[in-house]
Amino acid sequence: MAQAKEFHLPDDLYYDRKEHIWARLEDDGVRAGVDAFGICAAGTVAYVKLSPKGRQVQKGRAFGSLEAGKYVGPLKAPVGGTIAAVNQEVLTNPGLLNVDHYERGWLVVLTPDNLAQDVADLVHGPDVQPWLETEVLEYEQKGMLKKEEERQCE
Amino acid sequence: MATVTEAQPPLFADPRERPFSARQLLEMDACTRCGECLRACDSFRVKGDEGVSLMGMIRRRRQLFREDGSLLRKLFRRDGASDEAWSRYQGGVFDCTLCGRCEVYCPVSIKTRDLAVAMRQELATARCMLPKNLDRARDAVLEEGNIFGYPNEERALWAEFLDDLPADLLSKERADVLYFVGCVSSFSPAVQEIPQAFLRLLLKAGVDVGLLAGKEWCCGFPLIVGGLAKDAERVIAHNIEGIRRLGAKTVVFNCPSCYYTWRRYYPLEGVRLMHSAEFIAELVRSGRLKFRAPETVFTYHDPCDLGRGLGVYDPPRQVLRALAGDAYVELTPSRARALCCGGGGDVEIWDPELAGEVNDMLTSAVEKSGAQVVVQGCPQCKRTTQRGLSAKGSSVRSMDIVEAALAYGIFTDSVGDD
Repeated sequence: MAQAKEFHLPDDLYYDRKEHIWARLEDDGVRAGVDAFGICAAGTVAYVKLSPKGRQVQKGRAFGSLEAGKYVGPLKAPVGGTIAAVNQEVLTNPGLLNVDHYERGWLVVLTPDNLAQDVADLVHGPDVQPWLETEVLEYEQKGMLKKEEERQCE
Repeated sequence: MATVTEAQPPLFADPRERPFSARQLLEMDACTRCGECLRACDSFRVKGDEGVSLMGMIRRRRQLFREDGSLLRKLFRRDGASDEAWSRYQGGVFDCTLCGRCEVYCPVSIKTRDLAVAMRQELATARCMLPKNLDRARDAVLEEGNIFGYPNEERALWAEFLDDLPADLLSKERADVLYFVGCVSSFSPAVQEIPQAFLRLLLKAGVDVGLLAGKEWCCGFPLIVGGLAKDAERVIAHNIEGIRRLGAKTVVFNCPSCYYTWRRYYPLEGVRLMHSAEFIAELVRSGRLKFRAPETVFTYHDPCDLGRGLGVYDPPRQVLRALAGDAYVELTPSRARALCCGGGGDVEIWDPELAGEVNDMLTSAVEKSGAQVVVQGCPQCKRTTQRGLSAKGSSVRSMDIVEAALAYGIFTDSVGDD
């Protein structure tokens, strides 16, 4: 588990460096969600929309969109493939993204079409810790993250 | 991004050369400081600062004229107005939601909204006093083609969320009708049901509709009202090229601000422009759209740009009277005196707390009306209002007029006399 300040990122997951989308490789596909740091920077999530099951999505293209206190924007696929499952619970209760990032707050499961190539540029294992530390520092310096004492991220 | 060709005449005057028209200079002189506009000004009610009302803006600008242009200053080379004075004036000017409500109250018929926009043009362009966050919004529009700075190739994502999306819709090269979606409806998940509902309604009505998808750019409204009208020329030229390429003779909108901008600033001839409320009212009048009576009390909130901006008051009411009959109640105040949702004039970008407090007055009026559903015809109004109602724990629901028409409408094959 990588940790910087209050942010915990399991190092068995794969992370998109820029988008803060996590990917978990499972037997039936790749489960994706937003990591603890990304969701803290975005703020309280008010709305989530996701593409329907069966839709093809390329790596780096949007599979959904999210509106939170400090962010309105796309959710970009960490790997390309077909959407095999959509988390209906998170559509009706978007706050799950804020409180249970890696379990009930997952977004979609993708059936990858080029997994080996697509995960190559994702952060994983021991690389997660230094990347997370750099991200926290950079976001704080750019004012994209509330001050530590004002943050209420779980 | 494409640039305007040299042959195209500029749409907007350069505010560095002449920030105010002769009429606007006269209007500033004609203001009698009667204070009627204060009664109409929601930003003033929240802030308690006269400088956010048109009367206060005029008073401060007249003072700046005096200080910068005085004979004593010229003779003795004294400094003009202080930076603090300009900054105070700027704060007031950009706290205005540009709802235009004060125009209805002004006894000397000052075109308040146009004057406030001219003040912004002067500040942002001629004096380089663009407020924080608005510079980011400008960069987002000019670099990405949308107000959110979202990758513009994802503009039609809202359509891709539909599981019954017609296969050829996003690749159509020709269409009779262009549906210009606008940034808020395209990108904000809070209101993406609106374009989804309108598209379904257009398809049910048998309209040959096309989208510009990733080639649609911001209409230019946030730039124009943010004081950056010259920058808007680029996006206007691009969107006009889009409609020409599609060959559409009609453009439909669900966003009143896009509709207002196209009607007022797009140099188009032979193209019919319609808001969704007008489109639905036509379907109702022709007998093609009927409604099953809902057991719900409805009211309607007039969006500023649709009502006061373009005078479209009756079509949405025709739809709602057909839909709800006696279960339609009029909001107080309404029509030309309707309250602002707080989401206009780029204020949400620059001061989101003020936007929320202005919206609080609207949601209070909605709750007082006894309605269970407030229908609106604007994605930004819906965004702010549903957030405001939710924060209050209100049971009143906010719906766009296209959502209401789709939810309760029944299409008939018989076309009556129009």
